[in-house]
Amino acid sequence: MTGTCSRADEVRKLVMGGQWPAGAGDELRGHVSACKGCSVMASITLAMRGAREKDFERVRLEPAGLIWWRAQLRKRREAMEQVSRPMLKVQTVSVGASLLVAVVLLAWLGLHGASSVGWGGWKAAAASPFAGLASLGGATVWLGVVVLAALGAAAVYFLVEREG
Amino acid sequence: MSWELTLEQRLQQQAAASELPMDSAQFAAFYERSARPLWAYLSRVSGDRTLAEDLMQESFVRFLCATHGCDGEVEARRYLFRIATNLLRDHWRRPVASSLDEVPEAALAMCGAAAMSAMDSEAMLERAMAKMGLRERQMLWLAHAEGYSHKEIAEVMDLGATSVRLLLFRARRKIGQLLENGGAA
Repeated sequence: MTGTCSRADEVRKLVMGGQWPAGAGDELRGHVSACKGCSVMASITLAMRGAREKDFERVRLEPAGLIWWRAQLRKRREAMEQVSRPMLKVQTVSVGASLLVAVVLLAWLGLHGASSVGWGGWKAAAASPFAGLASLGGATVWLGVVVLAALGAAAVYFLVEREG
Repeated sequence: MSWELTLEQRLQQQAAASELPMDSAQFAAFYERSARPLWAYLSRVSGDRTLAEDLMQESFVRFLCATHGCDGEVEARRYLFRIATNLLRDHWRRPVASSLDEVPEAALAMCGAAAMSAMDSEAMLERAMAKMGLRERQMLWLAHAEGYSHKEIAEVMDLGATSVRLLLFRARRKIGQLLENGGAA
């Protein structure tokens, strides 16, 4: 234990067990008084064990039940966070995807003009499926915007509700 | 259907995860036996009783929340001391807190100036401990107050056993000299 004397560990164990010096033989006591390493070992251990005993009298402990209750609360919160983490990811992805598609739609509107977007496209598509395909695009854009707005709003709502 | 199963599984996982590794009666017994030694360790190493109380409570809460399984009370207590040691280290690393290496001697003397002037063994120990480095204080306390072996100290402090042997030898020599001089350098 000390790296100095082979008997230092024996001395330390006696002190730790409260058997020093009464529990030690004359030979060991004589050795400790002559051996620097062992006497240092005995004095340090005695001082620290004494301080430890005094600390035991000084400490005012919180009730175990209070610590237990705090641990339970934290454990439940951690478990709840673990469960809701995938849902948060889904909500974040939904918001991100909605924003991305909204940007694409705005760009599309910018390129083709707002006049090309209208319910007339559906009528044309119904009358002549092949010829009306081009104008159908405009109506689909509006439908997409409405669906995305609804999905995005729902995702943001759940996200905000969770944070709250 | 698969969503329902996943949700059900998740709720079961949550219920299992929110269970603590001990029941309240077991914990109360463990706390009664371990809290005082842990407080003494934290208090003597940090030199701050209030901090020791805070870190002790946090150590027990983290111990209960950890999924680490312990075989028996000896291992559980060692694990608890390891948590406390890590908390102390984290506290020292915080930039806002002053380094305890630089804390004046008076702050580490827990019985005040009167006790410091008294040359009893406790006051001498406090003076000597105040002059030791943090790691030295931890090692000395674990070895001499708690009776931990080199291997156990290495485990608690996350160091190699060989390093502990050497560092403890030096720390012991240093504190031995300090105690010889009544705790003063």
